Amino acid sequence: MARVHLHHITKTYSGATEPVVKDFNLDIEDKEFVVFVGPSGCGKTTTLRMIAGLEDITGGDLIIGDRRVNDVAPKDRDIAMVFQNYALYPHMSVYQNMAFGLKLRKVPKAEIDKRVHEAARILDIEHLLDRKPKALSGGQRQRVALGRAIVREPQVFLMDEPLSNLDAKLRVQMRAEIRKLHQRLQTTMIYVTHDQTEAMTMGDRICVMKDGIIQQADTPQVVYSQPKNIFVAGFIGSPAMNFIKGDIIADGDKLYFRAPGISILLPEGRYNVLKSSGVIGKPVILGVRPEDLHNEELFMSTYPEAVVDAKVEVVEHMGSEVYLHVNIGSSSMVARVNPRFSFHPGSEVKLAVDLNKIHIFDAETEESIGFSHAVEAPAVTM
Amino acid sequence: MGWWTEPLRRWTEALAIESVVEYAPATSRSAIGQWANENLEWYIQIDEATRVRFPGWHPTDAMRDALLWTLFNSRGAQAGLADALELDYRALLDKDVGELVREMSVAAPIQAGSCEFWSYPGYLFLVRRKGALVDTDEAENAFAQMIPDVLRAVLGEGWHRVLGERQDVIAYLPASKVDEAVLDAADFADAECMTKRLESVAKLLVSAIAEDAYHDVMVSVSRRIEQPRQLYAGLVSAVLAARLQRLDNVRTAVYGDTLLSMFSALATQDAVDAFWQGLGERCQVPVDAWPEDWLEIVRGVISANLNISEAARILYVHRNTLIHKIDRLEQITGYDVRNVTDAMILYFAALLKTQQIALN
Repeated sequence: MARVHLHHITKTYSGATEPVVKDFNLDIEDKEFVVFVGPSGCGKTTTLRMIAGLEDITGGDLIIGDRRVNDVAPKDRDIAMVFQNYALYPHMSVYQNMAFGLKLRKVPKAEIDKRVHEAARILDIEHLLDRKPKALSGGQRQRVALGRAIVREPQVFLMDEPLSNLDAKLRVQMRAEIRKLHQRLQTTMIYVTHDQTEAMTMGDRICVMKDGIIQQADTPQVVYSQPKNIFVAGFIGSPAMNFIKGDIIADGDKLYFRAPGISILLPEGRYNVLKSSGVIGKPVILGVRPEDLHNEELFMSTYPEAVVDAKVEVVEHMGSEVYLHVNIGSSSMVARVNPRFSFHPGSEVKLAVDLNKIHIFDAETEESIGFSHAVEAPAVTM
Repeated sequence: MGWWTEPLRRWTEALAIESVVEYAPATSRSAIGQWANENLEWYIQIDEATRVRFPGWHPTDAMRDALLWTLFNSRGAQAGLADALELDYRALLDKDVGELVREMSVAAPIQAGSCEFWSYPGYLFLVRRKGALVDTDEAENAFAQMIPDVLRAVLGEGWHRVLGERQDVIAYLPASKVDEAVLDAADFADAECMTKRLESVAKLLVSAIAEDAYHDVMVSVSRRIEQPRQLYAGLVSAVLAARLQRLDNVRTAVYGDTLLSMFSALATQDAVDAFWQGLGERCQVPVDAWPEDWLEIVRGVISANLNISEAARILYVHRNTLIHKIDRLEQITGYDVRNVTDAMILYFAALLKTQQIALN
């Protein structure tokens, strides 16, 4: 087991002027499950490959356990990797596939046998050991790929989008399996994905990246409820957070968010933060998650000055919920509402914004102005 | 698989002894084709980098003479072929894309000999390490030993050879064996999908070498080699695919799928300049002023066959966000990537841009 510390890590490819990973700082604790998430090209895979030793580190220190491993050969870093195109050898049986890496390292046969059977038992694939990969289902293949990594008994597991090749249903199943595996093995795991659902459901902590820079690294709950900037707010959550450009206007001793067709009285609990950050009278971006737009009477009466008129454009029935694509003023928004109400495209609805959950971002820096937990608006109990 | 493999196998079976083919560190290399004894174990130096060790075997002088004689007198045509490939490979390394394209029409100088693993048609796989040259014995050992093992695991028993100073590895895979190396051959059931199957094998090689041999490599695959006299053209096409792969910044390249990339690499500077100039005409906005993420958007939409929902999944943005970005790109450039003709122009522009970045 090991901690992984990345201190001021940078990566610049030869000939390039701009680094692809910039001043990356993250301390990953022993036995922690950390997920790197971000859009393609954000540097998450490059960072993982630097940890693996497949890419040189241009600057900074990479520490695994108590060792600085910048110049340590990949095979001596005590890590195991699983990739999107996981390596299963079609000519070999499952047993031989799992034993192959150990055989290359000249591990004694008896030890190989012990480790393969132990990993097979953990993954519940003992009955498949004699089969060839072509005779396995997608999920079974994925388990074998994990087994190939487990037999190495590494200090750190590195996984680069290992579920991307699976269909949606199997992906959901396998992400729970990997999570369970982590709990059983109690080993540090670093997992790369561009799928925010995977990140949210699997990581003890998630590290959201963009343009080679960590945008936010925290628990899934904090990243979701207290996004540090517009990028994180828009990237995490599905459907994505709604953003409305507008201004903070002082009217007497009250503060309003105003945009074309929208006027929302902001909760007093946020005044101090807004005043001290100097955004009064300046453009800001209001962020509202789809589940924080409500059509229930209770919310209307609790937040009477946060009720907006919306025109329904599209209704998406998801079974347990309904996504309403609406126009509010000149803005398009999505509301996640209860399916017991019926809606029709073209109809007018009133929606209340849950003031406890709103996010306000500086329009220029795109940084959050205080987190939503600082808001003190009346709570709604249902 | 070396020229020594088969005679060695026969000897070790006949004598019921063990043999270990291993990398010969520079510090303990003996004369090629000679026996040596180290730590009470006998070994034969096969070539500069390889030796065969016989643990626990104590042969008489006559036995050693007999084994050595048989081994080195059975090199035959296999070694000749490998030497010729090596020679040609070294000569090709400095050639640019244009020279390589011209070289493919040159008459075949390689004399392919008989070898049980060479059946035609087939393909050459070229495995090249990314990054710096290996400069330590240990690292060299790891590469020289592990890569062939992984190659055998992926391609099955076959022919391979370590080539050149960078210790690139070239392997031959008969077409009849391709499906055995593809995990989901049924996904590529159509005959015309051979390049997809080869791509799949190349990707497996890249992953396997990273997972099991801890090396970051690029794999390129030659054109189809129908008969021995096309071997040289095959070798050239594998080198050409590797050259284009570096320009396009991808880890795998199959010659048959590099045609557009080759075309853009071959375009004269005047043609490229005219193309860029023409590209900015629709909206009078120079390419340098296009949105920063235009390359990403174009690649995503093209790889999704212009399906916006699929492209949004690939790019991991919300579909509406992608539509907004595409609309904005169209507004600025005048090109709509949802339109096939415009998409082709933008794709070609993206190829040129990527190659320009690589060359700079």
